[in-house]
Amino acid sequence: MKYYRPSTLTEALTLLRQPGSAALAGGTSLLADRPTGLASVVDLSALGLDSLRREGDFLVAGAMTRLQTLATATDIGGSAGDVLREAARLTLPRPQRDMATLGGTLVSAQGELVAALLALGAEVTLDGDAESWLALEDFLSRRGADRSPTRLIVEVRWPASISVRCALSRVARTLADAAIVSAVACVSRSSESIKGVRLALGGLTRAPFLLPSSSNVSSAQAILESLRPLVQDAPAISDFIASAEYRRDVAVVVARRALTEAWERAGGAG
Amino acid sequence: MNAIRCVINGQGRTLNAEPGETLLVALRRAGFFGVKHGCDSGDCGACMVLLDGTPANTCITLAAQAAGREITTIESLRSNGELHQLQQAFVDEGVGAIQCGFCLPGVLLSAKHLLDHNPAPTEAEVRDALSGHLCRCTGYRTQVNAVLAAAARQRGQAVPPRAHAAALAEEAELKIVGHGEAKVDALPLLTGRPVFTDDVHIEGLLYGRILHSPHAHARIRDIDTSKAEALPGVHAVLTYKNTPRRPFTSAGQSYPELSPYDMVSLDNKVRFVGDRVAAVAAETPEIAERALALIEVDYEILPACLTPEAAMRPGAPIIHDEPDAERIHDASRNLAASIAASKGDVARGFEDAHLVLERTYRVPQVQQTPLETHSCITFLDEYDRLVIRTSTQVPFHTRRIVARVLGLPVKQVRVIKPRIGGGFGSKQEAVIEDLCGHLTLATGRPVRLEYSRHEEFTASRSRHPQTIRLRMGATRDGRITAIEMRVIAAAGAYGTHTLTVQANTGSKALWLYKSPNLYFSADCYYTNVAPPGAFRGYGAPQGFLALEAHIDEMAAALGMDPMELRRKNWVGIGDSNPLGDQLYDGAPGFHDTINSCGLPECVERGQAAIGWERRGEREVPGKPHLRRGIGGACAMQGSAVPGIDMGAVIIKINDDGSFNLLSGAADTGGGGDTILAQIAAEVLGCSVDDIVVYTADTDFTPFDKGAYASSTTFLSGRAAQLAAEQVKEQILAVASRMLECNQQELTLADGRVSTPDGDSVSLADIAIQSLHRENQFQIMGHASYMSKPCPPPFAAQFAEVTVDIETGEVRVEKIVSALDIGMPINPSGVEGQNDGGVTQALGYALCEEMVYDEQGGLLNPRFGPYHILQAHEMPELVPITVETWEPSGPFGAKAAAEIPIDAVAPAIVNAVADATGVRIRELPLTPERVLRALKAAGVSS
Repeated sequence: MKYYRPSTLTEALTLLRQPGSAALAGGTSLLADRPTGLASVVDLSALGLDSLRREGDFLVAGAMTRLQTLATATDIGGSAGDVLREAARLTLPRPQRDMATLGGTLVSAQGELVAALLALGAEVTLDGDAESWLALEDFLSRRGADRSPTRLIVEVRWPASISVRCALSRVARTLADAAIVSAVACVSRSSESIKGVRLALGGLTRAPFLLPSSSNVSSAQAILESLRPLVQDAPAISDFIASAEYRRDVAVVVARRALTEAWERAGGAG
Repeated sequence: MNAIRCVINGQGRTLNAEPGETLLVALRRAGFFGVKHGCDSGDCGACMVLLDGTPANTCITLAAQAAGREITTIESLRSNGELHQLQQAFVDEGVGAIQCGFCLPGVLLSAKHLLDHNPAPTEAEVRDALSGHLCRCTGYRTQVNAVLAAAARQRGQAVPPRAHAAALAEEAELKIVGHGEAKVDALPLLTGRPVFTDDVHIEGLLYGRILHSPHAHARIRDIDTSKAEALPGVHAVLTYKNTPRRPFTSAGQSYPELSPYDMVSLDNKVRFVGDRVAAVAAETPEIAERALALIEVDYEILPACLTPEAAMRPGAPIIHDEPDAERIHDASRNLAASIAASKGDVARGFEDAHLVLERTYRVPQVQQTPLETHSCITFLDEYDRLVIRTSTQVPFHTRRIVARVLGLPVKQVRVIKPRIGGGFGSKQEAVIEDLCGHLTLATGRPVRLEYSRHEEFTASRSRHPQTIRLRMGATRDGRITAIEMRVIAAAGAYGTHTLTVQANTGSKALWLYKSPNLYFSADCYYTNVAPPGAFRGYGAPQGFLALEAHIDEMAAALGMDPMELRRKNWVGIGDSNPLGDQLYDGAPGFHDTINSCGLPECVERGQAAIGWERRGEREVPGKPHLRRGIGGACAMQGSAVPGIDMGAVIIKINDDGSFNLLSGAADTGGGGDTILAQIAAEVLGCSVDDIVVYTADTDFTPFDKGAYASSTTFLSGRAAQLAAEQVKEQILAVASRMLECNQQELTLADGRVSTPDGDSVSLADIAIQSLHRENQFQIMGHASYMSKPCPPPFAAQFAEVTVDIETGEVRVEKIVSALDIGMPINPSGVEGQNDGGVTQALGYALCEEMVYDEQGGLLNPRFGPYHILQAHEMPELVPITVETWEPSGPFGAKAAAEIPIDAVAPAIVNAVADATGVRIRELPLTPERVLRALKAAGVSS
């Protein structure tokens, strides 16, 4: 297996076009699983992508930002910051969190952090096309069936709004075990009323997904009612930890809990 | 190989690594053995180093990634011979915080990283920093204490070493026994010294690898190894075709073993996914791996039986149809073992009862998962004797078993057990030593065979899953009249420990209560899954799950407090095990009799600590979806196998008045070596530092059965006491001549022998006198100890849980574990055993389970999916040691190793019932299983 540590994105992208080549971020997934046919790895650590900064109305994180950086980032304010820190902590325990990266986590599409970023309305740039932001939900839905992205995530951004109120809820065998199902809700409000709701569900399907935003944001209850049939129809995972039926059951519960809590934090009624 | 320039522990170095090789492998090759191999997937943290100051698991880091970077390993932590404050804090916290020590290098580096960035961490922050370091021994409590103490000291606060002294030790005026002496192997473990099996470089070493079966049940029609053999660098390819066929059992038990001889090193039939097909020795691991891929196997796939129910069906495929297997109960019915025992007449007992309840309980197959996988190195010494350096709990049994399988006389084999990274029963087996030995004999070269974590999950040992039908009768006033327990168990592909584990389910569980009528039976069927074997508790946790959950059901039906029902029926001093003889609980005629019993005090103190009076208060204010509950359960275990197992110790004096203690006892991390040293030092009036312990080397130490059945303290400890007493006699005899004083008037204390007048000579003076000056002889004692009694330790364990009735999640908030283990020789060590056993039992109750697909493939052969509890999710642990004095034990001690694992799961099941009113009779209590039960009972909608 060949190893490259390019110092420019262009070089990295060229190398990644070789057959059997894969991007190496934190290694917690790629090197733990070592897919067959892996001929070369392209280490992204020298590309300067380990950064977290504020840019206008957005927080922008390089794809190589470590989960531990997110778990302890004090410069992400408000309720969104709380939920991101919590989600990063829940996604992996400590030495792995020091290694795993934001980009790698989005590619693996596992863990609460992905759901949290979906709910926050995150976008990604691919292949250094800095001007072209793609909604995270679109990135996830376009992923190849083999889970490998066809293009490289370079940066991730999400609105730095402090008026959004978020909450996370999950179900797992134990406190630190990987979630069976998790939900993150983000409720934003204008001065008078609830303006928008974004609700993401992880663990129900192969990748976390964003529930279509409802035009009716009059009450949390109404949103939950519209969610029920979507959960019932979702292609739910079934494995030895939990059946599809159970996942559907508790998806509704965690969605309700996350939404209710975020809704209350946003000061919404009922 | 590529040369990788980097800085290691402050010095510029060149690491040599193959392309694609991990940093773990490269660092170990360069001699940094403190970096441990635990999981291959970054899940356990044993291989952690600091990379440019940031924690990194090296099993998922390429060596090439280290180029130009700075690596910090455990070897750097001690500077100028001085322990780092963190290392000292672990020593001070006691034996319980260190244990096997395999996880410590990573733990210490993570702790250092934390304190470097956060000098005043909270407990939660310490737990978070250690969250990815799996530890199977300690339950984390004492490790977290040690880190907090080190942090406080670094801030200039004085934190005295934790005081550990047993009240009984004070009473009996004991100076070493009953006190929290430091672990004798603490320093090498805390500093990352090369003390484990694989921590050596051996010239000419070959790498062994095993080809495992992809099928649950298949006959090998043919196997073609020619391409593998032709691969340059391959030195041997072994299959059934070129390997002698000698049936044996891998179970490490005293001879003759009570396990069937139903396996051979390499067979022409495979019986589980992961079974052995072939073994290869090659010059590098990569070549060995490539050779495996070149072996062509023609399988005739056979129908498989994955469950006992499938295996017992008439017409089921016969798993052991080979003609040369021995001692299988009934191979034609797949019945590996079958046993029954009774007392009185249960039918009559049920007639006498006012209440008869029958319930069925199910417990899963779970794995020991020691952090160090099975690991073995074999080589021929200068005299062409086979040396086996191996991570084993049973060096002497392994010597006997492997010698037989290899066709060598026992005298041609030497087994050495270095420090081992946990066993918990999985290493009470010769799992890989025979194959490693075959490869050395075939090549004449040293061979290393080490399991990956995946192999550990799929091809080692585990706990027997059981279905237990329990029927109990009692009178209205709560007197038990009859208990009937019928067990159906899965033996897996080979019957190792099958008869004895299942027998133990009855012999340990069924005499906790004095029922005049008892019946027990166990039928254990071969199945096409990886074989279970010995696992801490050895059948007892299964039995107590059923018994102790059932007692609570009985109490509820009778309208009694469950502890009151227990109190009315439990055993006490003078009672004997009524089924012991019939259930192989020792040699015939060796009746277990209770001479010490602290069970009532365990219950009393446990109830107070958990707040027993809060039972029935289900509501959680402000959380309508939560229910809170409290439950308790009791258990008893044994101390060694009476009439069968034996331990022996030799003690001799050195010129400076120190002593060598030589024993075959196999410390697996729990602190057995320290216990032996404490006992000897107590008798010999010296400090533990003056006892040099060397154990578990079949050439240099006397026989010992090994580390199982809670034996080391009780058997080997007693042998140490007896040997030390002989040495003391000889010391006093020499001193008597030197001091011209009657021997009876002399006292031995603090390294000196003194007369009543105050004249004295030191142990060094006495050693010089006896070794060099007069009537020269070696002051030396040796003693063996085989126990006739098998005094049971007792436990009362309590759980507080919260149940989410909308999701079925069970969260354990607190565990109180009160143990009567006699006199605690090392109180910190006892607490360590307690915490560790409780934590393994928490996994048994909540999340651990080996699950197979329809083809017999294990679905969760990795940490994570096979979840073991982590530091940041632990409930509060409250270990309580109830001191009693066991007359048959060394300094009043009984065994502490297994008892803490026995009653935690039923306490949790009972707490869930207290919280919700719903009884769940199947482990683990996964959210889905619990929710389904709650819905069926109408508690959840």
